[in-house]
Amino acid sequence: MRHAEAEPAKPPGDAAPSGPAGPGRSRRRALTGLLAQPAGALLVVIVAAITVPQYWLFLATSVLVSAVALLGLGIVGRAGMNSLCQLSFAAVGAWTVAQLNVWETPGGLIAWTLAGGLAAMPFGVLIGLPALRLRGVHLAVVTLGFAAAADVVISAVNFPGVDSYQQVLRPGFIATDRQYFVYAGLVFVVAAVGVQWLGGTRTGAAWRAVRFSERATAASGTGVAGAKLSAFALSAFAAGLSGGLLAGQVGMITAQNFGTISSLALFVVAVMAGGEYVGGALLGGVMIMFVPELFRRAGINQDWANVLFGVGAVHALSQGSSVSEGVARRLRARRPAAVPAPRAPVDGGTPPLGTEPLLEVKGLSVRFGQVVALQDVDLVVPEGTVMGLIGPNGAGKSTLTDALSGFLPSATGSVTLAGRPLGGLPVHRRAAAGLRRTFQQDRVPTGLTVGAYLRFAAHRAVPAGELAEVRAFLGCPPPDAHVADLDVGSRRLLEVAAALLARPKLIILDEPAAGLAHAESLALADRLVEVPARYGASVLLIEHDLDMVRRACARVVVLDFGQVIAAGPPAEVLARPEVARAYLGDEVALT
Amino acid sequence: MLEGAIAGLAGGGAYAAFGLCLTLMFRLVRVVNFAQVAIGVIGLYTMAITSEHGWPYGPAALAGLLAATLVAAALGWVMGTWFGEAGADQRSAISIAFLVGLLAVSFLAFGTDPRRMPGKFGGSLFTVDGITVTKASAVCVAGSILVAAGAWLVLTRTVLGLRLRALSERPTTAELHAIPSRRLGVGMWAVTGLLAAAVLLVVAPQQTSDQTSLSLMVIPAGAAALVGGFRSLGRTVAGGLGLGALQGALAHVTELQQYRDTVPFVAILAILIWSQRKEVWDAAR
Repeated sequence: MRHAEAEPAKPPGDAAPSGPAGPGRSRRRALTGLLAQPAGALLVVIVAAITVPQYWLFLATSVLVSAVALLGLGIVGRAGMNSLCQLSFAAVGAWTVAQLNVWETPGGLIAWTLAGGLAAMPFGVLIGLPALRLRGVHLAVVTLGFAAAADVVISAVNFPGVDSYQQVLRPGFIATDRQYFVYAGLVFVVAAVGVQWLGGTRTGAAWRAVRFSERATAASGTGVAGAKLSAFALSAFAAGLSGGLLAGQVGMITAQNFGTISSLALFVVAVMAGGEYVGGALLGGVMIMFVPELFRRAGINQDWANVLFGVGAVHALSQGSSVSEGVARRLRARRPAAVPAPRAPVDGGTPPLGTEPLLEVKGLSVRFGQVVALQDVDLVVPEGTVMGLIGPNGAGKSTLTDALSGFLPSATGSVTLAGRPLGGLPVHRRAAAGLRRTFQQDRVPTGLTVGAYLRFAAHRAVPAGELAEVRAFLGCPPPDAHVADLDVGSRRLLEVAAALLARPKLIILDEPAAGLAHAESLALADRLVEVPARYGASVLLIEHDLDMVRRACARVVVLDFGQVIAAGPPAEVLARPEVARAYLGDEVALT
Repeated sequence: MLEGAIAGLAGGGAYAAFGLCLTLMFRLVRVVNFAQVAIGVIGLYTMAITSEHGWPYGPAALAGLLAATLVAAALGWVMGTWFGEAGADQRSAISIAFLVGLLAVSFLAFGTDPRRMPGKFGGSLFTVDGITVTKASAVCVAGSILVAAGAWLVLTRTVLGLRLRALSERPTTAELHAIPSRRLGVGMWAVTGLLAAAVLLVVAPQQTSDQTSLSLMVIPAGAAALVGGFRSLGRTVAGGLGLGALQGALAHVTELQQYRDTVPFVAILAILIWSQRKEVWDAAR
């Protein structure tokens, strides 16, 4: 189960295009942009604290408390997971604050609240652990089960200090409700800035990448487990903070504050408002607190609020986007990204023929039950070359790619890259060792901008100039374009660009021209010829377009029924009768 | 312990029956219906309200069953009309919105005060060696087994079952063969809604529960359905009964008594992690 597809807020690094003004100024401008909104928000909070009546201010504080929890829910949402137990994490935070208050621990409420957030994190990781194997509906059932179990435990043990009527003490400078409102506003702004900042980092990009495809995330060198667990841990941290804030606000907390249904309602509101956006989290908080209040004042039963939220969430899901998502899309549609000019073939010269072996595969076999997908495949890809791997459908090309990149731990045989054995290494470690691959299907995460995706997949700090150079080399769209707005062909090229930016030793391209027009395939072939000299990587090109293979490759290996049946220069190999037979069948080959 | 386990079978039978509803819904209309029991709650409270207004038990119960069936059919219609092409994940997210909304509707319509639930299955059926088997236990256990057997027969031996299976396995192909997908989907929702209400009519009068805790019986029901992998009807029944018996037995262990409701969560976790342990990646390739 997923929230509606969502786009990220612009990562700070890409907030301003680096023009002639230079990267220094653009970074300053980006920083000012990043700080302007929070400063504005804080100003609003302070003005509200002075002018708004006490009663409404208390409600507004509750809005901020819920908004912090929603920010956390947005983090797991970004990673494409659903958490139905956000308030159970909040309860851990509140319990911690109440306990530290009873113990009269030095540091005061602010330190206790932070401790509450930290205490919730292990619980987040604990619930994140099943998420490494469970997805969608199954994960939802687990988190709901956890919420109900936590509810039972909380009701049974009671919060510390409740029996002795011990209120959570606030320090003097946030003792009044007005002061506490400002404090809650500050916590929300800091949390929001933190979430925005994280969204722009590689960790944030990894969350969005995991949501789109776990395999592609691992293949671009990022561990899926780390991404999922960090999302759950930080989400729980935010929930813990919110629980701590609540404890300070109301002084005495009970199990009713953290019921299972409230967790579900929070989820429903997050779906409706869009917890992945700071604005959405705030809007969600406002709805949770003010809608029932407005109903009450109008003499309408407050339960109508949850009916409204349910209907709103169903509506949001039927539209495929939350309120915030819809607004973001509309804003984006006003400034469409420039479309790069079509790429024309430019002769890249003769394909280089490498000499030193780079990738050595010996006796590689893969079985799926009784089916032998690869049998004793021996293969050497030399350094500094472009090599083709062809074969009819079902020959085992993609299985070979999967086995080389580490997706098939059951594969037997040996694989070494530049003398380093890769056997037993998980996917993201092989990527780090210098083996990158692309996928036959489109696997570029739609939640990112071009720039954010390239930086994420590069897995290292990339200077803006280098990013621009690779984009120009392949003719990719500008860095502030959204992947979701690109056509399939551009996404394929983007995937290749990302692999190049990672500066690997070997790039395996699995049908990169699928989705490209013929002329564009040839243009890509010409670019690939230049890759070894420009980027120092060998290319193993898997492709059905034989024109492209002839143009780009110095050598070709032919697979059929999981075995290598021919290898050599393209013209010579493609002329062999056994290759024609593999492609066209016995009858055609004989005539 | 044994006495507790036997007593727990009433709840276990209910979990099994709700679990069957969840399994059938997941198999046939691709949704883990988190609102399954909440639909039944609407029926239960309709029965309670009408009998408070002086209706005899029979017509009141019928009214309740009808209310649940209609609510379920309406929700099924919404699902089929707006989310016909959506995947199981999205449909299940919608059912969470249904649950939150339905509970609120239930509070609006029936209030939040505790109610006396008239019932026909109170008291014990027989006592052997000091162990009492209540009527509710017997009805729930026998009922869930009968429902599982009936559903199995319908699915495997009738044209309707064949159509339903075709629809669940290859929805587009089935529609191309003129199988009316939306009508069958609404029918499935209606039937499981009716079943959920019927189960609550049996078990709810035996316990003091409010709308919320009754609706959240969907969690142990989910655990039961997971035992069957959301596929096997027989294992779902076994899972539900086992879970109920375990909870009942734990009620007799003083130290664990108040935590016995956490059993479903532990069960869910253990079952899922075991059954999904090889699901390292999100997509096959």
